[in-house]
Amino acid sequence: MSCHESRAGSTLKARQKAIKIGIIGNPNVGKSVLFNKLTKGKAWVGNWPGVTVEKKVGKLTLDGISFELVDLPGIYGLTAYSQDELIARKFLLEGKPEIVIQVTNAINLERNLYLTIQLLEMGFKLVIALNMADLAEKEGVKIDVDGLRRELRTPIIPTIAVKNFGLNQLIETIKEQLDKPAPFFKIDYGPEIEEAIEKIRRLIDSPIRRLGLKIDPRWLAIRLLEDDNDIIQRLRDMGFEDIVSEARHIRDELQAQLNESVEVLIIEKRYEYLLNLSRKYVRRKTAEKSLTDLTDGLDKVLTHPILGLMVFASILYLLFKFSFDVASSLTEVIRVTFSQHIHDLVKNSLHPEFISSLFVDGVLNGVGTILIFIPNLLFLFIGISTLEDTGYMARVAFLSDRLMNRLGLSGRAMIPLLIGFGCNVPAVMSTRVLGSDRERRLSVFMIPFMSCSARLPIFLLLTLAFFRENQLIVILSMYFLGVFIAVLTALLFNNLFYRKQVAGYVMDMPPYLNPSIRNILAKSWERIRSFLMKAGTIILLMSVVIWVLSVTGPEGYIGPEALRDVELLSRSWIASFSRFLEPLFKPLNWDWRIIASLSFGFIAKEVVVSSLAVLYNVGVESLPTVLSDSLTPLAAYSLMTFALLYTPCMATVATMRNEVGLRYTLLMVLYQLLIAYTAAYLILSIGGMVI
Amino acid sequence: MRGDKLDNVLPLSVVKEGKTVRIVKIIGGGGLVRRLYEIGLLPGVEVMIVRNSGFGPVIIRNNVSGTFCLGFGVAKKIIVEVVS
Repeated sequence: MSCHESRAGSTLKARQKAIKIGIIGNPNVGKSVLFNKLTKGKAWVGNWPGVTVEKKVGKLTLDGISFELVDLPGIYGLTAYSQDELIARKFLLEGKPEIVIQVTNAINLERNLYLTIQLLEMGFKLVIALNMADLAEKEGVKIDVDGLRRELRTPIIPTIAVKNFGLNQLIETIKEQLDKPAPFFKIDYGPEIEEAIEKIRRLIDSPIRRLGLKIDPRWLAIRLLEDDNDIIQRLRDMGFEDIVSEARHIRDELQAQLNESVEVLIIEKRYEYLLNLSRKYVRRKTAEKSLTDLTDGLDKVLTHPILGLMVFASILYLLFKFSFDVASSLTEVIRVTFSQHIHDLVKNSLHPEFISSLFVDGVLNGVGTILIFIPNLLFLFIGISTLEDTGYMARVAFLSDRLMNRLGLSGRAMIPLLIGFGCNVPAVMSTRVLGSDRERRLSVFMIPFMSCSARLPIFLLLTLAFFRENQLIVILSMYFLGVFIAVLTALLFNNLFYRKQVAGYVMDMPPYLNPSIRNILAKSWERIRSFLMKAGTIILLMSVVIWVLSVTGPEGYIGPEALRDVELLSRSWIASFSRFLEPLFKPLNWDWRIIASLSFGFIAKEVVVSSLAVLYNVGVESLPTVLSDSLTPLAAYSLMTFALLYTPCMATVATMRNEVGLRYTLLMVLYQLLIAYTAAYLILSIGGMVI
Repeated sequence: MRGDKLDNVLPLSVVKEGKTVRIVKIIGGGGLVRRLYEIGLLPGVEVMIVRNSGFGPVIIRNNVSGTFCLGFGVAKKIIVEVVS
């Protein structure tokens, strides 16, 4: 074939629609690592930084064929018990992937096979990546891959994703599978159940065919016997009410006949099949030095009721110390470079003044604010990713369980709360792993009070201006106040809405693993990139908007002089809007410029500092001096309290709306404004009496 | 429940660390039972108690399921008999 021809051929292929591939698996099997390796990091993230809670999509092109890889949340089964399972199943049913890659953990293969069976029953073309093959060997687990492959009629590729082992073979296998039909797979559920399955299958077979749906009717029949609410709802929506009720009738009859729960019997049959597979193809011998030994040894200390908590407190302290101390010198470098060198350079090289001011006072101020964040966030993300990848986060959940139980939550809710210290948005999203709606709502209500890294610049600035001697203590007091209010909120809402229920939960405890530095860096970078894209653009945009609102007013264009002349500035839109609000904040003694900055802070708390800088027309670096002239220390503390507690950024509010609905979100926004106002007022008045 | 063995039968939440038990029955309905079954914790299966302080969550392990942490409320609903 000539060069010309082959190029034409490949463009033709490339123009075809991308072939969709779903990547699925239990939690902690290395699914995300495999996804990142296959897509070479070229993924666009549909979600915020944090745990994989929504699907991530990436591209992979092979010999001109383009594939679209979708990374799904980690799940154990497809019963749609948690939000994650619903998301995964929605994709399987509606996204119509051509091939599904199931990443499995070779150490506890049996538990992974349960999901395999369900996927095969659904009628998918499956490729199994037998991941962590090296660890399994160390553990003394020997798997007869060929035997298992024959029995399941499904390709199984041993992989070590972190070391790139087996990935080429995996890709080759995917290509080979494209032209092959899905394997025939069937579990024998025993005569009684099989009869019922067959009855229901016959009911739905022709309607499904008529609609041209690519769903296995036998699978649908099994799901109906298992009383799967999601499937029942879907069938109802399609107008199959009569089939649903007929299936229910068949199920009730069967239940009466067997005198036991049908769904339990079905799962038991699956396990029977699975344990049989395991007896035939999985051999275990006691390893000399096993991973479990190391994990057990570490867990003796790390999950100890007293020692464990002490270690946890130390790790938490180190995490924050690490992320802020290491970052501070970098932050300083960025600050100086930006506020002096680049500032001057741009100012002197742009004309006319209008343009130069837009860039320097609007755009550059915005960019500077974003960049100043990066070191802090980067090191915090590196710390959190490390804790996640070693498996320590699961121990945190175990340790905090008793404590969290008092708030009506399970230990797992601790993780979203901790992520909240980094950024509230991924924290709110990661509540999806929690089992019940009640638990998710309660933690979503608590998260906004976890002082995120965006609030830190406000605290840093104000403490620099007013509490230079006790900076650390004052900042820590903010964090504690936030946690305190969060705890009160949980207690209040749990008593009010849920009468002190406690959550029942089941959580995987992965063995401790040596984290890969590359993986941690990649994960942290992805989170930073996400922050830059989502928060960064908002901050930049808002900085420009503030600039525009400051140089124009009800009387028209004022000009960039307004930024240097408070007299002129007071004729701007910003001033009129804030003056309109001033009576409301009279009890707090706030200048209209503070009100203006805080209102912009609703859009993103990051912009509070930069808009203060614009409104006082100074660089961020000289803000402390300017502010200490116009506020008392007590007023500054009260302002910090308000900034801590009032509504988090718009991005958080938007995420909350997605997670708990509009009603609860509005309730929460109002609740927070009320709390913030009350706390700020109390501090000001009580503090005033004391001092 | 098997009446003749009633002495040996107790909730998982009260079993001491280091013991191995066999699951006899899981009390409760729907979601919880399904979830436990999905991860391989069903009647007849043996598990070892890795950690149990007696008033908090319990960590258990076996070859099929790996290591799991069960909330106190869940551990109370799993009825087991002590094997060793």
